[in-house]
Amino acid sequence: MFSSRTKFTSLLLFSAGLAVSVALPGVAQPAVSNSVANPDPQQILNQACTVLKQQRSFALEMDITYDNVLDTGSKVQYSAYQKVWVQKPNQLRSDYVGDERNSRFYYNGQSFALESPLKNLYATADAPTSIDAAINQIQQQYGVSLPMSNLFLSDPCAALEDKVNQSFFIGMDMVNRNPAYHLLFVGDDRDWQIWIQPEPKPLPIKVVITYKNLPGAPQYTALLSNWNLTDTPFAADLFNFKPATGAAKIEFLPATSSVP
Amino acid sequence: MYKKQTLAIGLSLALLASGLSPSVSLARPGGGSRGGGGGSFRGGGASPRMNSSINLQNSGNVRGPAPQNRSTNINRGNINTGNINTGNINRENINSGNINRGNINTGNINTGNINTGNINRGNNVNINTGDINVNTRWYGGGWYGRGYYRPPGWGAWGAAAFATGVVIGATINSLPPYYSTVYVSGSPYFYSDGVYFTSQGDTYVVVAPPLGAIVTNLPDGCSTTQYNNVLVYNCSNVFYEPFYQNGSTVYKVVQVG
Repeated sequence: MFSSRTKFTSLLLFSAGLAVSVALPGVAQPAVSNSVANPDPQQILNQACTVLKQQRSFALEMDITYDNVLDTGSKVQYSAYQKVWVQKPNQLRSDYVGDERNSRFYYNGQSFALESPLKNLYATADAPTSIDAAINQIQQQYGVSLPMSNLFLSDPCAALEDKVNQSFFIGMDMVNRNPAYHLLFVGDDRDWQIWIQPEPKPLPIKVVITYKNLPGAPQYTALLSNWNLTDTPFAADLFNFKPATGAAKIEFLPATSSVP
Repeated sequence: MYKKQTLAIGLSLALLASGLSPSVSLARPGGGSRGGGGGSFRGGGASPRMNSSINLQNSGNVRGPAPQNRSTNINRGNINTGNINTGNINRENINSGNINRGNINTGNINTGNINTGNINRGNNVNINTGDINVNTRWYGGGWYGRGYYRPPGWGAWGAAAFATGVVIGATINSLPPYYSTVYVSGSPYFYSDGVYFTSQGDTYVVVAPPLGAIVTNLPDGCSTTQYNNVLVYNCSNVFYEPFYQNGSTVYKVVQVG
């Protein structure tokens, strides 16, 4: 973690050239409140991460838009939505419906399956015994990645802050008409913004990733909603894949290099 | 007014061929494929023809993946090896579910047939029983052995560029309105609606579908069939096997003709 701990008030940030850094107080900031006086972006993020880290079972929905850059250089936006169920330490399910694909992902601690309901195709493979290891291996080996899966890891903040060079508090800015902590994290190849709702629990409700070094600086945006933090484990059926009637089993090709 | 007219006429081939309205072909090129068997608007509906140099579809994480470990390629599920099909002119045929092994078909002219569900194994003489002959147009770049049917999705461009047909060796000065580049053994091919080109100097040449080519969308009108428990798509005698690659379905040419 390499946060500069540089801080801006939202007012200063919007005043061009008036950026003034404020030394980090040596004491811990108070808990998340509606106060916007010098909030610490790392601390706000940590509070959201801690909620997720301690939660054994949760579900959420995402509304996604992302940019593709055409050969002509023009940027076009596609959309998708995704429902996710996380059952730590070793169960994960995602139902993804988007412009460019429609797929379901099942992981039950032993194997995973990718299913294309519209085409009635599926493939399965062995998987490691934890969500953390499974996400990493499945992405490396098969190129299958789940949007926002950083949030499903056992220690989300460790993943989120892995390659952060600077962090900023932008302001109490609106997401779906409600104010939220708007934070900016600057990395080498991408910047990302996250909006964290102040109540009832600090949870991320929007993320924007900017691939700033790619031509056209395309963005990936996810609105996170319907957070369901439950004490009751989800039914195992949710994570165990059963092929649909007449579904055809196909194979995975090895991952090829692509935009991360 | 103009819009009304195009709506009323719809996507009739006559209009596309007439060159009156390139905007129609752009809006919905020729009843385009939605990724091979798609077609529902519940996702998977983006035009697969738009070739992106950068695609964030498989992105969406703050932290990227660890360096990729490449393993070996998987080449399997080839069908119809050892066929010699010479001099066949198969026009407007849709041959679904045929598994032809060791056949030598010479000098046949099959026109307007749709052959469904045939399995010919080890025969030197084809016996086509149970054929269903239906006059249905092929909507992708259907393969007939020495060339392709002109994909309606190419619209006015296709009509102008290939007035005499999309035959092997035909050259054009510019690629179709929508295409993607695929590499087979390091050589680039240009793929558009089921039709393959290579570049030759300043022009592009129609070539047969290259075995091993991996494309992200199929032409319209493909049918599925099972071969040794492996599903393949029969796209007018070009056989594609589906795979998952980077979380999306892709289609590999495993047999031609």
